[in-house]
Amino acid sequence: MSDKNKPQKNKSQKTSKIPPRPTAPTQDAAGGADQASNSQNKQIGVTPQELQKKSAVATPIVRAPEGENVDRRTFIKWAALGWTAFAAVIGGYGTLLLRYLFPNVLFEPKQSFRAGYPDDYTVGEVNENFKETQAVWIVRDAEKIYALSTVCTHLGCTPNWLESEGKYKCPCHGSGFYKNGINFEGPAPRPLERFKITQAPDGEIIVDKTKKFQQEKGEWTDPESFILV
Amino acid sequence: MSENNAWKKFQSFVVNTQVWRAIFRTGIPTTPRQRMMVVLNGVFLHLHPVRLPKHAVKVKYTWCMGGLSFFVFLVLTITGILLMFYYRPTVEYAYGDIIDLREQVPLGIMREIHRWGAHLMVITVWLHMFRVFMTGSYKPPREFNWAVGVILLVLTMLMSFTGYLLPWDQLAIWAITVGSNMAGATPFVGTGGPGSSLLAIGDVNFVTSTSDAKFAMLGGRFVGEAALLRFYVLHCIGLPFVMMIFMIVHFWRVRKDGGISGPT
Amino acid sequence: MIEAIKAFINKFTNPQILFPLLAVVYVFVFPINKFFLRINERLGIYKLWTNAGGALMIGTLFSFFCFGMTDANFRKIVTKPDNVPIVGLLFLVVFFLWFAMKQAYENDARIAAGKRPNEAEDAKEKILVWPDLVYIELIALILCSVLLLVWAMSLHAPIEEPANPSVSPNPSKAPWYFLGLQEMLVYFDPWLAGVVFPTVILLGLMSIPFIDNNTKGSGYYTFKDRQMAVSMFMFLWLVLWIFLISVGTFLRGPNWNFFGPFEYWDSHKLAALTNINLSEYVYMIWMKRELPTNILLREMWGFLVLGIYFGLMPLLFAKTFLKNVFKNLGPLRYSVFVILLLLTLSLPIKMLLRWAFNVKYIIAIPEFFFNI
Repeated sequence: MSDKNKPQKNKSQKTSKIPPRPTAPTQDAAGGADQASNSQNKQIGVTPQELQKKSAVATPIVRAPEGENVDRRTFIKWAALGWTAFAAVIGGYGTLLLRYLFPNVLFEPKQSFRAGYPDDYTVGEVNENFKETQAVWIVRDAEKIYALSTVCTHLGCTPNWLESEGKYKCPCHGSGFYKNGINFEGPAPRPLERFKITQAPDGEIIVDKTKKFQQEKGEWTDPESFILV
Repeated sequence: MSENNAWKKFQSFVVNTQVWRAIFRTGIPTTPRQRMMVVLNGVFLHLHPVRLPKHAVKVKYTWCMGGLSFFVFLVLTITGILLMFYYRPTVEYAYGDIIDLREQVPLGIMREIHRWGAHLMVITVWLHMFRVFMTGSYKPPREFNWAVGVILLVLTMLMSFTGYLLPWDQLAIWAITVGSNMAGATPFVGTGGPGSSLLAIGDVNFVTSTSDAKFAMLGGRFVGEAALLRFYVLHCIGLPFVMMIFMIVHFWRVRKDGGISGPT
Repeated sequence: MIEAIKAFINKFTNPQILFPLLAVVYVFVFPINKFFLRINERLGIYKLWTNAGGALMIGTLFSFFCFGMTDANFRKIVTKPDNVPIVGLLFLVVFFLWFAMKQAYENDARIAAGKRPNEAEDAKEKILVWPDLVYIELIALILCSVLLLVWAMSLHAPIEEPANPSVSPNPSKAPWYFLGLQEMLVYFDPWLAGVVFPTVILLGLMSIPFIDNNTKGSGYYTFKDRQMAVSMFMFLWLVLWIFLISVGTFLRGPNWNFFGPFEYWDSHKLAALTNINLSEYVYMIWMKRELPTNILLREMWGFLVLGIYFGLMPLLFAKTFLKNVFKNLGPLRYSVFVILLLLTLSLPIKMLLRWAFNVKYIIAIPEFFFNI
């Protein structure tokens, strides 16, 4: 046998494996589209009996050879491995996709600002100078100054300070807060937040919005949450 | 009489030209066979079956609401594409572009059609669901398609919600502020939600204002530039894409579940 | 005289009166079982679903709006561009409700007489899609386009001042189709009203075909073949969805206070809203002592109430008035059904508790944002 012969032989084997034309409709018939295949059968002249014979002959070929049977344990092992790998890949991609939603750099305004000197604020006043630019009220009472967030703890609207009624009232859902930020009416679940407030060496007030103090966690007693005056 | 004849001649001439026959395979559908072929051969009419039980075409039964929802969706797609020619999704330009769409652009009702169309679609979708409920059409074998319909309802509302931000006016940012704060209150994955403080190791919190559900939605800690862009992309590409897929499934299943419901 | 009528309507439309009233009316209009059906028939309420009844309902609604338009305050609310769709929706909902129920009652009468529903008569005849359906679709599309074009030409789309993050408009409202949810926000915390409840609503909607295992009433309008399903749906759809949207649109004014439809929107209207938690009721008012510092001890009463509500009520219902439902659905379907039912009812219950006793939270643990 020479090398030349080999590919030729292969070729002939291949061509012989291709089923003869009439078998194509039989596959159709097995698929169940009976009307259409019946008419086609008539055209090529295959009787139902022949059809049955052909399919009877065809079935053993479909079955896997005896030797290749996989036992149950191996199958489960490989299936588990396969599915685990699949889930891991999908999960990995999912995590990456989720991470994609959170950029590494944020282009948002600076979170701390200088707010003048304690003497700029009168006792009992709610100062609204920084409401527009910084979303902060600066409140001075008899003994201290604190910075109150203007973000409603319900759903983030901006309440209005109603001087005559002595309360902050949120227009979105009607939450009301006392002057010190404690909630007393409407749906707000907790008091307004306070920000870190300190004094620079020259005595100027610095408000740092990155650090928040929440009353319900008992954080309003923290010395960073107010300035004693 | 002769005029009529001339018209007939002209008609048969047109219908028999090679161009006409190349486009419309079946000719003028006058016989029942041709009428069936029109539906079978056309890609768009193929949405329908060839024949229907009579109750299924009665307005009294269907109220036309499903079809109208789809139609309004198409109107919204077209007007939306046209609006994109003039609208720039940035904090600087968005509001002005919306004003210009009315004041400077010819045919200045494009945005009106889009906005009112969006409202109309919400209404038609609701009424469609109401009709489907009242006729018991969700019952087997159509359970799955009802669920697909519910998903389409959600998508309709989300489309509306994302579109609401784009004019960048007071109405827009406060509606979205409220909506996104709700996302921030999601249990476990929102900073304002219950359980979020439990997802921490020692002092390191995993759910912070830069890593929670609200942030994923807005691309920032508050409604700003990034949020506008995200909502714009979702509104114009992301959600319509998902919606198309579900609509395909919805229409396909109407046919496959035995066509429009009816008494058995 | 007219002022007196307006004052009366303003009083009457306060949701604290209107909502309980609607709930009572609902029970008789959409009878949930045989008992209420008999009352419904005795009182003749089913006549709403005749031509005369339809004319009465649409006429009442129409004349109310006509009457209202003479009032400046009402006109201002109704003609606000974003509120126009809701006015349209109200008419459409009433019309289609009547349209569906009318056909349902006609079919019920036929079925009672041993005949098949109207749809079955029609279904005997098969028709071709081209041209019969295509024509109808074309006409519907043209009418819809005309409506949309006229609407677009006659009414500007709303645009307000440019966005300003430091000033919330008063009141600031969500898009109208979310106003039902926004109304829930007054009674529940955002994590419930904004996240959990919407999710439950959607899952609940999807589960309808799997819970409702009644094989009758598929493919035709009917009421009596599926009385319970229709009646329950009507409560969700009309009372908890459409009605709450209307409240949010027409009756919520500055500072999210209630305003009658003819009332001037005064942003300084005072409304006492001071609310009390259940724990404060138990310890401070009934026991007259301080709140315990231990959170679990403080909130155990709330947990107890919820435990009874979601734990014991389903069992109790299964033994009593939902006995037949339990038998029909089996334990799994019944559990899903009854939990959905209790969640649904928790909204009106919480509303009533708020209005009657100023209850803010059943369980209040603001330390963990866990308030119910």
